Amino acid sequence: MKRQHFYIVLILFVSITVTVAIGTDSFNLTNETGAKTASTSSSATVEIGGPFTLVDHNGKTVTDADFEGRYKLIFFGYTSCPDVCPTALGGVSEMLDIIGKKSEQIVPLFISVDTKRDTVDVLQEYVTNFHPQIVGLTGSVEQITAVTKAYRSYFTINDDGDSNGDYYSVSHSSYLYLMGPDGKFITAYGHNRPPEDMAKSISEVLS
Amino acid sequence: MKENTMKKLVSLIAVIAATTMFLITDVYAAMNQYKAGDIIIENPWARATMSSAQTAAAFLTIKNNGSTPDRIVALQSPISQKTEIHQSFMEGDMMRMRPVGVLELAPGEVTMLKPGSYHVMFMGLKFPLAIGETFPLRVKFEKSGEVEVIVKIMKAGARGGMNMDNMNHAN
Repeated sequence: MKRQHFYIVLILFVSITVTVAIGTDSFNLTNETGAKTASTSSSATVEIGGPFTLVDHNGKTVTDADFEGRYKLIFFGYTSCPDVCPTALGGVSEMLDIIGKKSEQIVPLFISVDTKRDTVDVLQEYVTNFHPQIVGLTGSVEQITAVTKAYRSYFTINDDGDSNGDYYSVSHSSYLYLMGPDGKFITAYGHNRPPEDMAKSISEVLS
Repeated sequence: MKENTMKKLVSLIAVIAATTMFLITDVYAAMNQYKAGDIIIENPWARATMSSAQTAAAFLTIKNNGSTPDRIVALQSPISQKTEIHQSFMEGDMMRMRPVGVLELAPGEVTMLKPGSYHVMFMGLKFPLAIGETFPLRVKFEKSGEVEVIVKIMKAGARGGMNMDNMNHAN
């Protein structure tokens, strides 16, 4: 075989292999947008929301009165939640950044339904990982049960963990409730509502 | 052809083949792609966790380019005691999670492990996941052998939509 032929074969071999490797194996990722809005609507008979007494992520006891005069975006979850809660809180953080200065009118409240694991310290580290505006709230089982009832929200502690019971999951309602400065329910968003979309919707409500 | 030239040729081809394999592996890594037989895994990522976290989740995309079904039978990572595939799903108004024993990979199908759907669930986290770092995850298939992928750790609130700039976007 002549040297020249050899190089031609070599170049062909390398280029074909690389082309096949790059060309055939690339596929597209479609991102989930899955816009979903809660069909919940306020009505005279079913009131959503109400008074509560809880403990914030700085250890201070707070009530609904402490947040009066501001819009509230309320979400129930737990810090060991690996999927839905970070998606929701990530979305809320982006939404706040999109709205910008005006978002100071909104207090996002992340209420933990996992009273056993979510201590004040845990909650503090958790919410500050997302956005400085987000307030984490916890409380006694009675306090948490009362506030979830007021919001027509539900949660179940599952016994699906290991033998120590450390990794159990918690099933919970995943809506974000937008409440007015007067404490009245305005609307609800699905946890995976795109942040741009939520920002647009909330901006229309803000003064 | 002389025997000497033949020998040289054979060894040259071996070197080229090895270099090409290395290049391909490199190209895959650069594109965040990993291969096991006809199975390709793309863009594995996870979210940063807080210091006391016991659990974490990772997301990735799997394509079965083969003509026969395959399944993920086991996962392993040095970051956790237990690694499984879990699925988030809505049941009425409730968001729930359940373990998925084996994940079926139909031929020609793309399976996405993404927020709100399937995810790799790490239980008994040995250390917190820090933003910007990576960790290995070994994925074992029923037919296609196994592959180790490198999972990138994104911010706690990452939603998986913005971090795929190196992917091949045709749409």
